[in-house]
Amino acid sequence: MLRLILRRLASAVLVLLLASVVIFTVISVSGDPLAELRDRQPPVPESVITAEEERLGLNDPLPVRYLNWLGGVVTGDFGPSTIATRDIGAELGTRVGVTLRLVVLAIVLALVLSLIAGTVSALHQRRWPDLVLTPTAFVLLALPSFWLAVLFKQWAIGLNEMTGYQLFYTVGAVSVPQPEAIGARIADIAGHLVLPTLVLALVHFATWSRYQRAAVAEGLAGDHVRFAVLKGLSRGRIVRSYVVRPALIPIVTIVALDLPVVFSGAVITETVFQWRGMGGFLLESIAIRDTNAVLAWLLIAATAVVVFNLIADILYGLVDPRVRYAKS
Amino acid sequence: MAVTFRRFVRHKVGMGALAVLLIVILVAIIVPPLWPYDHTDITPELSQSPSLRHPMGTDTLGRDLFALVLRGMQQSLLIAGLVTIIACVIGVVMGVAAGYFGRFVDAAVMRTVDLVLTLPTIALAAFLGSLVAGKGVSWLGLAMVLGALMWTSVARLVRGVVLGMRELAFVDAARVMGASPLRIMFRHLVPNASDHIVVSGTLMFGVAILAESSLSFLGFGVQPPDTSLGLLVANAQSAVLTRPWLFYFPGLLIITIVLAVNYVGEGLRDAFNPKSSPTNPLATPRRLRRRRPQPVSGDPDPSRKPLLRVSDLSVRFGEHVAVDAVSLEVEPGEVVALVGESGSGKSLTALSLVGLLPSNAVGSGSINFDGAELSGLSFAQWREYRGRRIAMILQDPSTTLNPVLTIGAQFADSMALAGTVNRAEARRRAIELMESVAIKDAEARLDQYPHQLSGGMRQRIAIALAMVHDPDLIIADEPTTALDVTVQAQVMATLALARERTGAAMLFITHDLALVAGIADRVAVMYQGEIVEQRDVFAIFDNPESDYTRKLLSLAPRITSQAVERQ
Amino acid sequence: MSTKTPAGESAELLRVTDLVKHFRAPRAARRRGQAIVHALCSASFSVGPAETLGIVGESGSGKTTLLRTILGLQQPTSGQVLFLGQDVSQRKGATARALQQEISVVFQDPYTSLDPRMTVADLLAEPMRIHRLPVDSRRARTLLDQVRLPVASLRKFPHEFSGGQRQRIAIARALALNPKLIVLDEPVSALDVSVQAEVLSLLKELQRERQVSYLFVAHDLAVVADISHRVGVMYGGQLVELGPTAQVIGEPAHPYTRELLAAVPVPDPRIERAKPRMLQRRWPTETDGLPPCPHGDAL
Repeated sequence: MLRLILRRLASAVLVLLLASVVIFTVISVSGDPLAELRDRQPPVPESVITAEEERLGLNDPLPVRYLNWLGGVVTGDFGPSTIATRDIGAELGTRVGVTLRLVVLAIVLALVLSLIAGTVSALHQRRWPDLVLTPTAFVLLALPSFWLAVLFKQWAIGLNEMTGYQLFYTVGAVSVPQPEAIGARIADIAGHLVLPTLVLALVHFATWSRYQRAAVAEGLAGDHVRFAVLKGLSRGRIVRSYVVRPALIPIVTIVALDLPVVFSGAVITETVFQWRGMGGFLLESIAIRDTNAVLAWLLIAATAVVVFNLIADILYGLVDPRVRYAKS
Repeated sequence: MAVTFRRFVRHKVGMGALAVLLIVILVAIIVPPLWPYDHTDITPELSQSPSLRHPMGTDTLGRDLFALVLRGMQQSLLIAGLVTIIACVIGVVMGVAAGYFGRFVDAAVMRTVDLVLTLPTIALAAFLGSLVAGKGVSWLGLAMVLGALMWTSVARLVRGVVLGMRELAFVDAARVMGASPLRIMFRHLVPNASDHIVVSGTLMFGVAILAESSLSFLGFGVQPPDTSLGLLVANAQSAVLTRPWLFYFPGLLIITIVLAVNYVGEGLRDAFNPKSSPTNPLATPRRLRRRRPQPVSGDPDPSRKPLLRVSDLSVRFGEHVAVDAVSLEVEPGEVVALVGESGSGKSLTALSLVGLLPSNAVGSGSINFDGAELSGLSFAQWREYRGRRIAMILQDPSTTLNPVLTIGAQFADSMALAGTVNRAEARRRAIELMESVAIKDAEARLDQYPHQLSGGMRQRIAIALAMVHDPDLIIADEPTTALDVTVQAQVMATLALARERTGAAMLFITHDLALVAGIADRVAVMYQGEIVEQRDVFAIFDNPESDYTRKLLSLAPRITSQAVERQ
Repeated sequence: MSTKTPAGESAELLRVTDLVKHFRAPRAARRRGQAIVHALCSASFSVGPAETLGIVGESGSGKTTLLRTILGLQQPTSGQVLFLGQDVSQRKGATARALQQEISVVFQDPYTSLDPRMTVADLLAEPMRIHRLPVDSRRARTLLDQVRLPVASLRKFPHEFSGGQRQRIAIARALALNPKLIVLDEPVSALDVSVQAEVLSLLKELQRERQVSYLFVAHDLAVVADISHRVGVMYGGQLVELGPTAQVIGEPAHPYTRELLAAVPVPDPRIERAKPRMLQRRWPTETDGLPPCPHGDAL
């Protein structure tokens, strides 16, 4: 098992390194951080542009720039921003936590819901829970997450106005200023999480519950379930150990694969609910052509994906003895 | 192809969705030139709610929302269509190459896929989209960016399908005939993967619409003064409560389009790959229909009490009669063989005996076990019999055991039926049972998983599992068909041993008449759903009565008996 | 175990000499110090004109590797496969083209060996198309006639036929270019007994008519013995016995052959009931292993 983890860790680092090369190349080749400066009217003096180029290190050949950049990243320096006063690392640092809070919570919620709904749906194929759950999933699948987010936000605002109470928080990840007491502070964070988490979770619940339904349905048709029935085991025991447990493997894979999509969804959700998280950071950086900031964002997202995949791989090993033994 | 088409036409939801989709596309093409307002026209009627003149109302600048929505639909459909084509072409080529060539090509493609999958599409698309936007070709650039980021799912899918097909003999056959890799890939592999490609392409169209509108919503997709559905929703964000039409019309349209696309995809999937009715062995079995009581035939001695009495059992799939009025008896301790070729109905007969008929099958007749009628029992009532009094061994030992539980745990599961057993006791009994079916190193096997064992070993374990509660009847359904002949001999010996030790009766189902010569007391031969002959084992081999039995016996290639006797 | 036909004799169609195929051992085995797995360990035999050589072996015996190597689907680690003196391991060029027309194949599973998206007419024309030969519709009809299928089959798809009929289509395709040798990979094991017999007799008939040779590989000794002039028995990557059918069946020399023979069920209750029960594999035991592989480390 330890060997398995170490091997996966090594390959994760490799993937990340490759990802960094690709990201760096794509972003550096395609984006000119000084485009806005050059286009400015009236024209900015040539010397200013040269100085900016010098400060951002744009004159070196690409591989050198990559190595310089990578060297900085390893020590926690994400390179200079187009705004001289901006510290990319420090700013991202404060924002990562906010976004991770949302992403992790939404994943857990969506996963739990889809495990339950998918299993129930498959166990009662074409009967009532399934006849409700399947169309629900289809509709959720077709809902643009931004539309759902706006809808929830505006409805919540309407509800707040109607009742005259702050039933839902609709803006930001925390209140400004934050409450002093620890308990109130946690309650405040939790309150702000409700709507965004719900939006993000619902969107992924749709996809994952479909996969879970398919996996359980396939499992049910399997010989080992028939054999378990013939052994005289109880329904509960069969569902738990013979149907759901083997079906956990596909769902774990799907969730791991879908992580970048969750991050994409988080960008939208955060934008709608005006969080100061990674989503906002990305959009601001793109708007001002701050390539190093975009790079840093992508790298952190990629790292998160790789780390989550690593966790999924390890879970995999725990769930499926075939992986555990074949690879160790 | 024609069959698939007919199946799709009959798929109500799929056809309905297709109709909706076609209407949307037609409206997007035909209506804009006819509509009095262009999406750029500004009227003096600001923020009007829907009316006859403006069926969707107007926005804050006085533009007609219907005209805007039409333009948005055009943009969304155009971009999504292009994205789908780009992604499918790249994905199919990459996927087929990876799946067919394997090794380095596969590794290279899959690592690329991994890399692309590591990146949140929307972030990269937003960045690249912000670059191509405003250069005059925004929709084309946007489609290329999204297509280049979305091909991975098609590539993975096609690769998987091709990997599965590469094992199929027709690919090898083409290679042996000397076909070039290109011919194999595009003449054989791609056409055979086309159903998967069509379905995933359809679904991708929906995803592409969502992706495009998300990007436009964020401001990195279609740029004003042009518009798209996502952009319209973005502009209406704060108007949900005050001017709801601005928010709901474009949003609901996106939902309608994507929903229609997804249902078309689902319909296509069903048409390409018709689902048999869902298998659920956990459901309560359907009751066998009782026919009118048959006149008691050929059973002069009512005092005789067979362990199992099947009378007049029939199984139908719609019009097709798969098992036709089969009557069969098994005495306590007796071994009855049920022999038949594929399609003879022997396995369906066995499944009816344990209440596991497929849900689209209709059974009739009666199954009497030790004086009790088994037909119509609930799942809970069946548990009194299954495993305890009737045990069954299935054909393929590589799939019957639970892959994620140790052998010991699977024994413990069975033992727990008769009340809680402590761990040490359970292990001791499991070892005993495994040793009784001639498994060496039984103790070590307990902590192993099924995939670590050979096929013959797994089947012995399945036999040992069947013996946990000393059943009265063992039903063995082709228990050696998946095994090599020397392993078959061992498993047959094991089965005979286990049966003799417990004195259980056995119903042995096989296609191989020779196989039962050594084990059966009585042989029933099935052909096309009927039992054509049912006699004592010696009688049937020495002097077969039915033509079919004679044919089976004479046609089976056999090794001359003197050759065997000599060794 | 060498054949009786001396090497280089002109009557020889296929000659396999010291054929060896290694695979890289799985990770677990490599850690124990075993670098390779011998899928095939020095097989030598030949097939003459209009002869059927049967190779019998259970799963893992190396018969599939042998077959794939002969067909050129895999490269041998060492050794040679000569067809009329030409090395079959070359996959390109005029020689390879010629060889592809002389050797054809029928695979085990009639449900997968025919491309489901092609009509029978396309399937039968494919060998011609691949070799850029003129496609002649009369030829297809003759082929169907030879395998006793109606001409109306031409426009149908494989799924419209039964298993036995599909196998006939596969045989027709194998005959399309008038090959000298047909390699048959378990051609009847997926079929019902009654259909098996029909396909086997068709094969025998075709051999009489067209003087084609068969290399018939199967796990079922009874089937192999039924059709073969000579039988080779494979076990653990080795050809443990090779000889005329009557000799291998009547006087098996190798203990594995004897065990295999004893395991084949006989449709006679008296013989079957008199057989000793084989609860464990009797051969090989730990002390009585295979002779070591001449190349590399042991199996």
